[in-house]
Amino acid sequence: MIRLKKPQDLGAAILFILLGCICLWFGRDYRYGTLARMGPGFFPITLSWLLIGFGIVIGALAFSFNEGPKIGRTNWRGLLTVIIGIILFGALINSAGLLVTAFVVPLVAAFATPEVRRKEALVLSVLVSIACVAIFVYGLRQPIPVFFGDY
Amino acid sequence: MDVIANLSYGFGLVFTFQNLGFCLIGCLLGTLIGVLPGIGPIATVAMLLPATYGLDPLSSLVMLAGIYYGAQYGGSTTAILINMPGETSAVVTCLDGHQMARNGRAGSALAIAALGSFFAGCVGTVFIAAFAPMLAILSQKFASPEYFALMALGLIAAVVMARGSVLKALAMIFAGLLFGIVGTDVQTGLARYTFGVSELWDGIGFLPVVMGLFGIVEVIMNLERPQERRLLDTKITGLWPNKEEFKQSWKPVIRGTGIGSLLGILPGGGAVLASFASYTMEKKLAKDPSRFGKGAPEGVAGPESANNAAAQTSFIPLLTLGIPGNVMMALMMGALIIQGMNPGAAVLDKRPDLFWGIVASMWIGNLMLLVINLPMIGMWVKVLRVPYRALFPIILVISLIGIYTINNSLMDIWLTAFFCLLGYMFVKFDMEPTPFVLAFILGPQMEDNLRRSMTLSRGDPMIFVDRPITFTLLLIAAFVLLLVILPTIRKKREEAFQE
Repeated sequence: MIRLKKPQDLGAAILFILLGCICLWFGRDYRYGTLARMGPGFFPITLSWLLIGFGIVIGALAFSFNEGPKIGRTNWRGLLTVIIGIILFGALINSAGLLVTAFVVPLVAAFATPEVRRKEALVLSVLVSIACVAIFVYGLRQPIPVFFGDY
Repeated sequence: MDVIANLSYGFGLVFTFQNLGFCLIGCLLGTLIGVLPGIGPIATVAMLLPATYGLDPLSSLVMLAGIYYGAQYGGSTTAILINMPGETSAVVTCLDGHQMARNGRAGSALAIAALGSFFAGCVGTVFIAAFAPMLAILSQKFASPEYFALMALGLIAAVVMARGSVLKALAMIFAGLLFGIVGTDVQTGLARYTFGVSELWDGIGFLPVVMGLFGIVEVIMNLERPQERRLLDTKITGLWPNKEEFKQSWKPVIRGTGIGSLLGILPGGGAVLASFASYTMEKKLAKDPSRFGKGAPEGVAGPESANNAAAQTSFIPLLTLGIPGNVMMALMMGALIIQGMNPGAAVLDKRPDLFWGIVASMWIGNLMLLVINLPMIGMWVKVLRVPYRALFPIILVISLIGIYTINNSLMDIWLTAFFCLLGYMFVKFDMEPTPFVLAFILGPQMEDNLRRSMTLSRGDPMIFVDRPITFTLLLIAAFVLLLVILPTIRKKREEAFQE
């Protein structure tokens, strides 16, 4: 009977095949050329096919031989909060400036763990915000907007 | 002698009040961040890179060296005190180092690690000074086919060092090479996989990739694991190894340094191999091997020296051939490029001041570490007590500021988010990110060298066989690959038979 034995490998295989297909599709107009005169498509197209080929083999092997470990549970709270933190940084840094960004991002990110303590996070974020402006803008003289309208 | 003349030239450049100051700051910062639990040396260096942007090239390299060694040492400190290795090469230190700490010899374990590392650092520096120029001269004879073969060998070595499935690690290389292609094609000017985004014309920045895959994913993974941190409550007394410990340690230090210096040159993470090899060797040589794992000073002295010597000599392939052997060296390469220095054979010729400056600053970094860190251990222990829930938001925002300040580009922030997601999937599907990152860094050069080789030979692949150096390199790569594949196939067959 065919049974999935290595779920991790199947996940990896799907990721590889997907990536290979994306690169093939978006690289479809790149000239392949010949061995002597390689076009810009030679390397990416060859690699894409290799990736798809390996992906298929890895995926097939996931159904055979020995048992592998299961895919660990996804920590949605941690993952999403951190990603939201990164996106907030990008959304705020140029418009609202570092003072606001370096306050909002740590405050939001602190909620990535259920152990969060609201008051502590608030105080910490204020301190981080001030310290970041002092260190990066005034200390290291990085050209980062500090507050609204600086950009 | 040439070596001495060159080294003193380097020291002459680096020994200014200002540079020593930067080295000191770098060391302090590197240890401060490196000692924080759950932040490995790679994340530490990536986080602190922006602190070096604003300085002139030499000062920034000196500071970088300080950060690098500080981060390494910080990793050993967490390994010894709370049994938490910041990276794979510190795993071995945990075995006996933490046991020593439990036996009340924490101070001694830290001192042995520091002294051993310092000795290894000194030897490593001389090693680089002696051998790097030779390799650089040899590499000047290299043309595209040789470079292509060398990079192939480097990537295969990364596959060998990766744990888990060889097939997956190979596929990770192809994936990494594909991500490296993004950007303008050097030969035709065609923008590939840029999706109309002009910020991608120069390719994907290395810091978003490394920070996303290593630094930030590490934060998420640390949040997932239940925080079990048993910091020893015993006060650290006696910062100096006693006579017996000293006697037990000095030979392992010398042997470890030897192993580390040699293995460090190998591409694909020699430091890990070196520390494991040293530990195994000490255990074999010991009169009473049963002491190992229960707090034998040899088990700290050997691996720590090997680790540090390898960390030092792993600069050789980067500085002479422009090929980073591990992710840390890839980071260093990125830092050097930001400073306008393209690592490779040409550096020694065109910018000997930078080359010898780097070598000299490595030694100073090691010295600083010894001078400032031993007396400050008490402070690092305090840092260790900061709870993770308060730390990681700060780590996140500082990392993001660092990524943003390279180019003041928002694209780098979006890329970080993307690679963070990708990196999380890598962890969940047990895909090794190291081959991916190395392939990503080497991708553009590898493609370029392949195309040049093929133009050179008018499309005849025999060019890789006809040139002796190229053929040898490729043969080694194939041989090494075969070595890893064969046992797995055998094992799998056996397991299949049992079913």
